[in-house]
Amino acid sequence: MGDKVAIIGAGQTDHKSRRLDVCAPELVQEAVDLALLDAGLGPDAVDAVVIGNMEHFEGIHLSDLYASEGTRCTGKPHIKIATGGTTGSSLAQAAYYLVAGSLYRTVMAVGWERLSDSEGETTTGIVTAFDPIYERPTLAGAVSGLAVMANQYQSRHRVRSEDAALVVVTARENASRNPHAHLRKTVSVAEVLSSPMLSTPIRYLDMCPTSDGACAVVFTSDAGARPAAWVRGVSSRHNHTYLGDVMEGARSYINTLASAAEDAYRQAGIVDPRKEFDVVEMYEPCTWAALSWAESLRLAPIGEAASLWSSGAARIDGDLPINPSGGVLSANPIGATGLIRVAEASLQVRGRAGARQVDGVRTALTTGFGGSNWNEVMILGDRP
Amino acid sequence: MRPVAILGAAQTRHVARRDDANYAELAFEVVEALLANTGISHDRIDTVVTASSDFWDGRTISDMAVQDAVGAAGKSASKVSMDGVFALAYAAARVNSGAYKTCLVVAHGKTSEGDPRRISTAAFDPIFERPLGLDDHAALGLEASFHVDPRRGACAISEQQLAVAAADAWTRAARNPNAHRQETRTVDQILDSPLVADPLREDMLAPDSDGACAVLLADEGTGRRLGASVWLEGFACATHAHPIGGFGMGSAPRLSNLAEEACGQAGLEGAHEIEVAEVHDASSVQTMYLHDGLDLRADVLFNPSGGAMGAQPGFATGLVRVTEVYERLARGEGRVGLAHGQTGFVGKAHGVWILRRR
Repeated sequence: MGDKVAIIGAGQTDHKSRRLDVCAPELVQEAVDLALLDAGLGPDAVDAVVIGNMEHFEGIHLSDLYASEGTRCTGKPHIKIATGGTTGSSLAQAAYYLVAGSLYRTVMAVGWERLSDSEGETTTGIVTAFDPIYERPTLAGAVSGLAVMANQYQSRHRVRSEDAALVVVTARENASRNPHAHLRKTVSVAEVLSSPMLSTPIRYLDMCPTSDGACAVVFTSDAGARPAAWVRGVSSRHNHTYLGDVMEGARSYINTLASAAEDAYRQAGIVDPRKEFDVVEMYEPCTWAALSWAESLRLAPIGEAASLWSSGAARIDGDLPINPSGGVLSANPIGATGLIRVAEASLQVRGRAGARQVDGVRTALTTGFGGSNWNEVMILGDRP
Repeated sequence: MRPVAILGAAQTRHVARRDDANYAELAFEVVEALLANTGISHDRIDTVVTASSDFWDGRTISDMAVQDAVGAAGKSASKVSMDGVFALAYAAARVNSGAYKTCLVVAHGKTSEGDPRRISTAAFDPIFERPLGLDDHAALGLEASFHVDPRRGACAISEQQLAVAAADAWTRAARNPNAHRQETRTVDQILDSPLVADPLREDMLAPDSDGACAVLLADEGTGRRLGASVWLEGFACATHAHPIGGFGMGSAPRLSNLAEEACGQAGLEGAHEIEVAEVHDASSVQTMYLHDGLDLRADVLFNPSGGAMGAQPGFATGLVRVTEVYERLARGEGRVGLAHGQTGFVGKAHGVWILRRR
């Protein structure tokens, strides 16, 4: 088998709607410096970098090369990963495999996005993910596909909009404790339900924001005595090329996440995820997705995920805290978003999550989501 | 690195335009060819890494469009947004991690669907470089002017030497049925071709091609069991600073370090042991400095396929080099080979592989 892999450092920017004070390499450097500081390493100790960003949002081709100086690792090996919403989680997985496969001893994963550079046209970038002839003319970007899924979930399980709203209410309570979160103002159920409708049943406050930000995480097979979060399970699944395949049902979303999760659970020896995870950092692009996907992850019985939030179980002081960072609903620099889930979970395992720390975290679950029902799962633990 | 077996490789014929196929169909075509070559079916391929460029494909998440075509749906897979030689490194790590026994690597490039010059402009610094109108050809011209500068004395390359290198590449490409360039050019014809970016003339620049390439890797145990004859034994890569003036143009010293590192992993004394080499040469200047920079022997079999000067299908170009070396070694023509790929105009990131026949 491969080498045991640990996360020994994580850093991220304070995510904002606009970071006009820095260019992309400078944004990247902020996160990189914090990650190296957290790991107690200089840039010399990093053997290779995996770097990710989605070129269509900033309009910069080969953006990995453009930002390379910000990594402080110019002259070293780098590999660029760009898989859409999953870019950040794909970076974490690539860093894991490069270390586990002994190509390098210490690899830094770096993801960033400056969605403000797309000047309100983030959706325009996303629309280009789809077939230029069959899909683009009728497709409105990220919200529409999620709305199809949310509609199916809502009608199948008779879930109320209030139930979904509680997800963002909890997320923002958590974000108010997280200095890195973009949206830190708390919201009420009434505010969510009176926010503008984007695409039934998704309202403005049900949906994640677009942010500027960067994140860096250090993976190594040489953790030594450093406080470490160990990678215990890694998997990814995706399943379609055409949006019509999604219409087959919310089931297809559930299948890729459930399939990836079960694969990762098997690797980590997880039998009862509801009991065995101490914290979850889930990639929830909208409130409805959090409900449906908590069920795919077997954190709640099918159709009953709303009870995780209504009972308070998902709160920081609950028995299964979900997104103590505030989640994607509170910050979404796309190329970094999935990596932030892994960074936050690693901080929880290492006991370094500050005001958002959950007590006694030993096992953490992270997910990433992107186009084509791409779902990724990484499980971290306090032991190899 | 622990050695990784190559179970098979395939490439399409590379041409200027493939109006009969979209890029997913190019990827499908090459994977079907690979499966036919190797007799291995999709259900025996554990994981997939694709390589493609969102800008060149005109699609964000460009891998979404090829995942069905390459058999990745429902599998643990990923995508590298660089030349296929870098995807090959990720694939090698995946099989060496113990999680997978086999990994398929697929790279495609369909340059005819866009305007390669305008797309390449977007790779330069948006504030300091783009307003100059830089594109890949202009950058290659600047790089070439450094090499032809008479102040380099004996190291300076002459226009005549460039034309000879180009003519040589055209001749070798014409003998390669998969190459885009199927005609020959005389030195005089090359010197008469239109000046594109001083000192580079049209026939001294690699073409823009449509094509795809696929390589199937296996871990050591699986490779042995299946009797794999050619193995990946060394890999080295590095990235230069981004600003075009931020490093010595086409500086060769770093290349020699890469060759030395990759050869060292493969247990070779140095690049002088290499018998066959294929490099991604985007211009005739690169043909020359890559040969010297990688410390290759004067009599090495160098770019027998014609190299990228014969066909340059985007992010598949470097993986085609690996495939060419693999096929030659698998046929018993030599024991040790080197394959080079690059991403970023004027070689911002280089990757070097060592292949060996056992």
